Amino acid sequence: MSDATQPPDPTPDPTPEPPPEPQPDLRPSRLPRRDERWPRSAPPVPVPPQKKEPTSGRGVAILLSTAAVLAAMLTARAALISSDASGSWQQSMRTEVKRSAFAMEDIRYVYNSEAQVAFSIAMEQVRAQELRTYAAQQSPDARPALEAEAKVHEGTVTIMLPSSEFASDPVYALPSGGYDVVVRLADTRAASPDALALDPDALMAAGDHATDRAVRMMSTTIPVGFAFLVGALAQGWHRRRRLLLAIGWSCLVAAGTLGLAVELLG
Amino acid sequence: MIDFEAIKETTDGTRFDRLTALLIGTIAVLAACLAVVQMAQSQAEGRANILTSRITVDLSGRLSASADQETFMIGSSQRAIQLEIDGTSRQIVALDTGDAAADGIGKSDVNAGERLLAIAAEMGTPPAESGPIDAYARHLLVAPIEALIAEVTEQNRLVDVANDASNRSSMAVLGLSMVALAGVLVGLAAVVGEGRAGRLTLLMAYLGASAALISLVRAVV
Repeated sequence: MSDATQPPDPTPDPTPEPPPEPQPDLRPSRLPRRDERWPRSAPPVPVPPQKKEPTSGRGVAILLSTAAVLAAMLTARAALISSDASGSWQQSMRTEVKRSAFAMEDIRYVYNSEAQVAFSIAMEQVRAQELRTYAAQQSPDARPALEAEAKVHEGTVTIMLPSSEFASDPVYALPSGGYDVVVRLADTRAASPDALALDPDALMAAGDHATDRAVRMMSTTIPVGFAFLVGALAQGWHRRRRLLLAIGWSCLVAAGTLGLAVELLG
Repeated sequence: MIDFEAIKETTDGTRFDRLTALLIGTIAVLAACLAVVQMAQSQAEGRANILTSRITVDLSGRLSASADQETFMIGSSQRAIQLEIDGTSRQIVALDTGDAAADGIGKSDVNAGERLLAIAAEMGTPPAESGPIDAYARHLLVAPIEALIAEVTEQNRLVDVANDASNRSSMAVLGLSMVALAGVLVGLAAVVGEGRAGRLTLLMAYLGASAALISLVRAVV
């Protein structure tokens, strides 16, 4: 009989095939994950609690935030005060121009208008007086001509005098025959009390005081800067954190106190 | 077992962290100092400019007012002298013609001219310090050349003060720009972290802060 006609062997193979060899893990090695540090069956080893710093990163953040807010407030206030100072100076400039214009107009009017007319009247008066005086010493033949000439000048005075408030007022008459221009100018100036009250120097002084306050207010941000410095150092030197934070808060308190002092006391 | 969180809390930062923290704090101090200097110099410049303008107005007023007063006095004196000249001329003509009246008028005019010369001087005299006029009007009217020269000298000094303050203020602004740049770079270094790029960025930030410090010194000194 041939092999092809032989029936299959009904007896099963008593020896099973061995399982395939496990493949090596070719993945790159890595640190075990948090949940793989110990087997799931083993409980975690209790670690004694470490002493935590009472002032953690939150303290630094609060210090720096407070420093930033305080710096902004002080800077804003200083800017406002310096703006007031500039405004005072500008106002003093405008006041100076106004005061100068008022004074120059008064001076121009008194010296160029009123005083000129008053001197012209004085000329006619003095000429008439001298002619009268000389006529009284002359012979009767020459006297009429001199008196007539005197009358000409007196007539001119009669016509011109009413037109001059300055020369008409006996308050301004000088013993020598002229008129007091300085007193007239003083009275003209006194007629405008608002113009006399203009004081650009006072506005300038107010601006100077305000700018000193502004600079002092701005100077109070320097301690705030040091508070920032100390707070930043506290983030880098953890062992000194408590001391550095204390110094930082002290700087902030000092800055705030100085700012209040500048604001209230000037 | 190791508690990495506790270790992180109890040990100091790295040298890079410390340098970053130090620079951040230094930038804050520099910024505050530069802001103070910039404000002080800016205000000084503004004040000097305002004073310079005020002196210009004052000089103009004094020149104009004193010119009005002197013009009146000189003009009145000239009219008085003219009258004297006319009187003398009339007397000379009267000698030739034998006109007694004309001679009398001439002598009267000469006498009047002398009186009017004194009157012109009295009316045109600048006001005295103890006079009734207000101080500012007197300040405008009494303007000797020495006082005007002193004002011009003061004005020139104030212009120099303004220029100097402007330069210092600009230097402070430059310093603030450097501070801002250093702040940006240190923030970038903190983000990049410790590494070659981070260290290089931190170095550039320190250079910026140094430039700001130099600007502060130049603005103050």
